[in-house]
This record gives sequence, structure tokens and C-alpha cells, in this order.
Amino acid sequence: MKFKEQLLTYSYRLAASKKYKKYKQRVDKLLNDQNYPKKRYFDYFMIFLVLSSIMILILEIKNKLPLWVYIYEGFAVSVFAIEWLARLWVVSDAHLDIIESQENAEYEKNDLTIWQLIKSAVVKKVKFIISPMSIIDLLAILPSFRALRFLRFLLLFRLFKVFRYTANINDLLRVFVEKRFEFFSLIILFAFMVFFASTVIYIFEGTGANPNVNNFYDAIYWAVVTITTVGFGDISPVTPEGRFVTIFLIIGGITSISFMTSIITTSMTEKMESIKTRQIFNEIGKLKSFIVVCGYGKMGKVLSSELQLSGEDVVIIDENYQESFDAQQKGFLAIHADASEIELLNELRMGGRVKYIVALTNNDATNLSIILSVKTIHPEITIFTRAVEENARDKLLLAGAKDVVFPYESAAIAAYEYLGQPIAFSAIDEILHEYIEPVIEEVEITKEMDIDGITLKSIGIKKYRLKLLGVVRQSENDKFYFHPRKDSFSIVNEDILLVIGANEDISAFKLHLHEG
Amino acid sequence: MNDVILFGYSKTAQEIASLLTKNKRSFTILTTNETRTDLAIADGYDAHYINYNSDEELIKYGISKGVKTLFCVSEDYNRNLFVTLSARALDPDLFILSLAADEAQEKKMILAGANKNINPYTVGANRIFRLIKKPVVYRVLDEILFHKSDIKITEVIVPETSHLINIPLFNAKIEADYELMVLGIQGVSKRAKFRFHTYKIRRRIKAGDILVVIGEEKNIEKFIKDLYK
Repeated sequence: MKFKEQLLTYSYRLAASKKYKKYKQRVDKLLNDQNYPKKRYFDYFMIFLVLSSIMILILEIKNKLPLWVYIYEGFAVSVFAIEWLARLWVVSDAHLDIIESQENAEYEKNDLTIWQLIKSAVVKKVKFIISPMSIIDLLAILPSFRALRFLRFLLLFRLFKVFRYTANINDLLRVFVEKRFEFFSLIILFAFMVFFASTVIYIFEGTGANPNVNNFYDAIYWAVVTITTVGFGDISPVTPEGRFVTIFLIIGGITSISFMTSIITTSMTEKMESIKTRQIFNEIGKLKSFIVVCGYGKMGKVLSSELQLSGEDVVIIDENYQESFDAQQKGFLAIHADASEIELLNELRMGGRVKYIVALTNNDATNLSIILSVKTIHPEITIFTRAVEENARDKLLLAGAKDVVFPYESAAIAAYEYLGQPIAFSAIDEILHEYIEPVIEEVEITKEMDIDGITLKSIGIKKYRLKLLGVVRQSENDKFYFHPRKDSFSIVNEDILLVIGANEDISAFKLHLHEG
Repeated sequence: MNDVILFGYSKTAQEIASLLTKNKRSFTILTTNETRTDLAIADGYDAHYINYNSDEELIKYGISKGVKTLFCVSEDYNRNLFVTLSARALDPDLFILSLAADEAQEKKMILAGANKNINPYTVGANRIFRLIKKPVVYRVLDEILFHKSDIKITEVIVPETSHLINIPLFNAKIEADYELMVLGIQGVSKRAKFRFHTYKIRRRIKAGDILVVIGEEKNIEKFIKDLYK
């Protein structure tokens, strides 16, 4: 009984420890989370250990190796063992299982034996131990012990361990699992044909007509060699009946093999896409900050390339395969998916890395759904969107979009301005363009510049050949001071100066302000 | 007769129509689709059904006879192109603005004689781009352009009688005297490019030059009054 008490206290203590949880999570990520950046280095290291230890195995067969090689081998094996133990550790939370059993028992007013208490925890661990990958791990470790030396050939199983560290190969191999129904039917068909053909040949030629067919095993061997179109020729039919069967066997073999090849190739191509997607996710995982554009239609195309030109990293999500493919061809990180899926948005790990999301699909309902999905998981992200129908605008704003652009209205405004004041309008349009000089730029006054209270005249606007449109005072609720007098207007920290000028002059001006 | 014609009744056309109505400009809508014509009439506009390849009908509604601006904003690019070309042939001075959805279409449209192209998707995308990259600038310019505050942007034509004639722009003291900002200057000739007033422009002001000025409405009015004195 005392042991049970101790076990429970220990479990509760572990459950209460944040540090324990943190370490366990970190180990779990290192072993199992494809998106964890450090996992890559761990994988490379393990692959290296596996390949080098197999190399030792091969060299050992005919050579005598120096001592350090065996020390290295010992090191590799202990790393494998530690890795396996770590996997056993992170696969489930034993202490939580124990607590759960205990609490259930308390609720039902039962008194548990030790075995009942730990049963669910043990079952989960055992399930892991007998899983295929765990068995491969064990086969890679156990034969290294002296007592099991005779099982050394099993060390080759280490090679399978490589699959653990290469997600891509794993993906391809999963084809066999996913298409198991097709493969199963094919194998049945194969088995039937082999059985039929070998029986026929055995009946006609096994009785002495053919000296090479002595038993039924020979007949099966011949049938398999023939049906797979390998045709060694060591056994060949001699009776007309046997040859007749062979004709059908060969035709059936070619048909079913081409069928199998096509199943494998098509499903591998399908898999290639998911491999590519994973690679894109990996690339996205490396970005420090990026803007997400949902929908690569007419507006999405223009916006993405403008953002890219201005030095932003852009991630594009489009439901349409062709559009996302086009985006990839243009060099964007593009995902072929439904952007309103919360799961996908979670996978992108946007928290802290995404400032803006732009929903530009040509469907108001989809845009609305994207906005709500984003707001559910990351309410702090600013979202812009477009409206396809004008009356959708209010709903999009209600859903949480910061601003809704109705392209036809924007175009109409632009068209109307050409009617009234074409020169003024194109002038404004021009300064808003980043690549046609002069440009208009926001220059924020910070504390570090130490120019609080100084008049505009003395900060060098004229020297850098700039024109000041005005000052936005953030401390006064973003009040806009238009073209203030240079000799009497003094600057306050956090002011934003709107200056017009050549790009390099503006950069020089900013530098001047920062250096004082 | 109205001096503005809208060819087509697409979404963009509808927005232009409501803007023009809001600003009390009269205009005529011509479409090549009867249901569209009916829709425009139902919306309360002066709309007519035309056969787009008939020059007579274009002339009938005023092209080459007083219409100054033509918006080719129907949903069908090829018809816009066709009408642009016909109208240009009828009237070399007409201001034609047409819809184009990409660069290739823009080039063809210019070749057909349009003065300006407009692409709703590019305009919309630019708007979002600016909201992301330069929100403060954008807000301020938006307020100025669309008269949401008392600061306005205006084009002022310099008359022959003005006291500013022959004075270099940088010496004209418009900014100091009227608390205005001169954004730039545009010469009379068609080839002349708009020049931004970023640093000393020694160019002397001539009669017919257009100055683009920004400022409070009362200051602009005062400036115009003095200019025409």
C-alpha cells in the first residue's frame, strides 16, 4: 500500500511541475514535430550515425578494425538506445494516466490494486513498444549486446531507421498503405494466376515430360519467373499444353504488371504534391515575418508582386490548383488549400510573424469565412479584404476586416478624378508609387533622435531637398497639421512627418535624423 | 446635350454613375445590351441602347458634337476597344478613359486611342498595398483628394494677366504668402510633363501653366482671386 501512495504523490508532483512538462514537450518536438526547426539537425545527426554504423558492419566482415571504431559503435548504439527510451517516454503521459485512473476510482468509490492503477499507463507504453517502428528501433539496438551476437544480420534493420528521419521517403512509402485495397486485389489476382499456371504445368510436365519440373515448388517457381516477365529460362515448358498456358500467363503477367506500375506511379505523383507542400511549409517556417494573401486572382496577382517588390515576404493561399501553381512559378511561396480552414491557419504558425492578411478571393462568403477563421485564432492580425458585391461591405467590416476595398468603386473614383482634376490626381497617384520619383514617405520621430521641441526649420528638410506635406501628431489623436510654418512649428516625439522627395534624399534625411 | 458619356453599365460604370450624380454632373449612358439599358433606366439614368459599330449613333448622342469625355467601361473589352477607336476617329480631342484588365489590353487600348486606362483590380490592389505600406500617408491623401477635410487639392490655370508671369516658380512665394503647398507645375503643351515642386525649379511661370496646389479652401480661394486680379 505504501508503494501505491508513493506512486500517486510522485504522479501528482510531476503533473504539477511546469519544468517537467516543458522538457518533455521539447523532447517530443525534437523527435516528432516536422515543423520544429532544430529537428532537421537531429535528423541529419541520426542518419549519419545509422549509415556510419552500417558501414562498420560491412567493413567488419573481412577486416580487423581498430579499437576506436568499436568505441564509436558503442556510442552509436547508446544514442539509439537513449533515443528509443526518449520515444517511450514522450509517447504518453504515464503520470496523468495514473491520476486519471485514481480519480475515476475515487468517483466510483473503488479501491484500486496497483495493477489496476497503472494498467492504462502500461497499455499505452506497450502499444508503443510493439509498434512497427519501435520494433525496428529495437532490432537496431539489441543485437549489439554480446548475448545476442548471433543476430548481427538484424543490424541491417538500422537502415530502416533512416525512414524515421526522412519524412519524404516516408510519404512515398505510405503509398502502399493508402492503396492497399488496389494492391490487395492485384496480389489475389497474381496468386490466382500463379496457382493456376503452376498446377497446369505440374499436371502436364511434372510427370516426367520435363526433367526440370520435379515437384510443385519447381512449378510455382517457374510460374512466378514467367508471370513477372523475368524469364530466366532455366525451366521452360516442353509440351504443347504447357506452352499454351505460358502464352496466357505471359499476357496476364504483362497486363497486371503494367496495372501495378500505373497504380504506383499515379499515387507517387499524388504524394509528390504533398511532399512539395511540406517543403513550402518548411520554407514558411523559416520566415521571420510575412504577409498572407488569400486568393491569387487579378487583384491578388498585382498586390503580391507589389509587396514582393517592396521587399516583403508573401505567402499565397489559393484553393484553385492552377492559380497556386502559377504563383509558385512566379517564385512565391504558394499553398494550394482553403484559406478559411482553421487547421491550415494553425499550421502556418502565424502568431507574432504575420502582421497582415489580405483576403482577395472573388467570393464574398469565402472572404468572410477567412476573416472569421483568422479572428478566431489570431484576433491581433490586421485583415484587409475586397468586396465583390457592394452590399457585402458592411458584413465584412462586421466580421473584423480593418478595411474593405470595393475595386469598382476605387476605379470609379479614379475615373471621376480624371474628369475633374486629371493633373492633380495623376500627380498624387505618382507620388504614391514606390518606384517613380519623387515618392512620399512617412518619417517617424523617435525619442532616440532627441529632437523633441525643435522647430521644423532646423532639422534639414530643405538641405535634403524635401517637401513637407504635413505632420501627423500621434500624441493628439493623429491630428494632421498641413504644411506647417517651418519657423514656428516645433516637433514632438512620435510625430510622423510626411515628406516628398527622391528616394535617396529621404533615406539620407532619415539617416541624418538618426545620427543627430 | 450632356458632355459626359458612359459606354456600358458594368459595376464600374454603376459606381461612376453614382459618383457623377452625387457631384451633380449630368451624363448619358449608352449600352449594347437591352437588359442593361433597362437596368440603367430603372436606376434613374438617361440610358439608351445603341449598336456599337454604328458611327451615326455615336454622333447622334454627341460624340464629335460637344461631348468632352467618354468612359468606355462596358463589361466587354472588345466592344470598349471598338468604341474607343470609333470615337477617336470621330473626335481627336475627346478625352477617352477605358477599362483594361491587364498590360496587354492596356497597350491595345492606348493604340486604339484611349487617353487613360483604368483597371479596377490594379486600382484596388494598389489601395490595399498602400493601406499596408503607408497607412498614414494614405489616410491623409485620401482626405485631401476626396474632400473629407477642409484641405483641398486644386488645379489652377495661370491667366495672362497674372502678376506671377515670368517669375521663377521657386521665387513666386505662393507657399509663404497664402499658406499653400505647390505640389508641381504642368506646362501648356501636350508634350510637357508634370514637374514636381520638390526643389528649386528655375522654370519661369507662363500663361496657361497649371499649378497644382494643396491648402485650406479659403486660402486657395484667396490665391485664385489674387491671381485673376
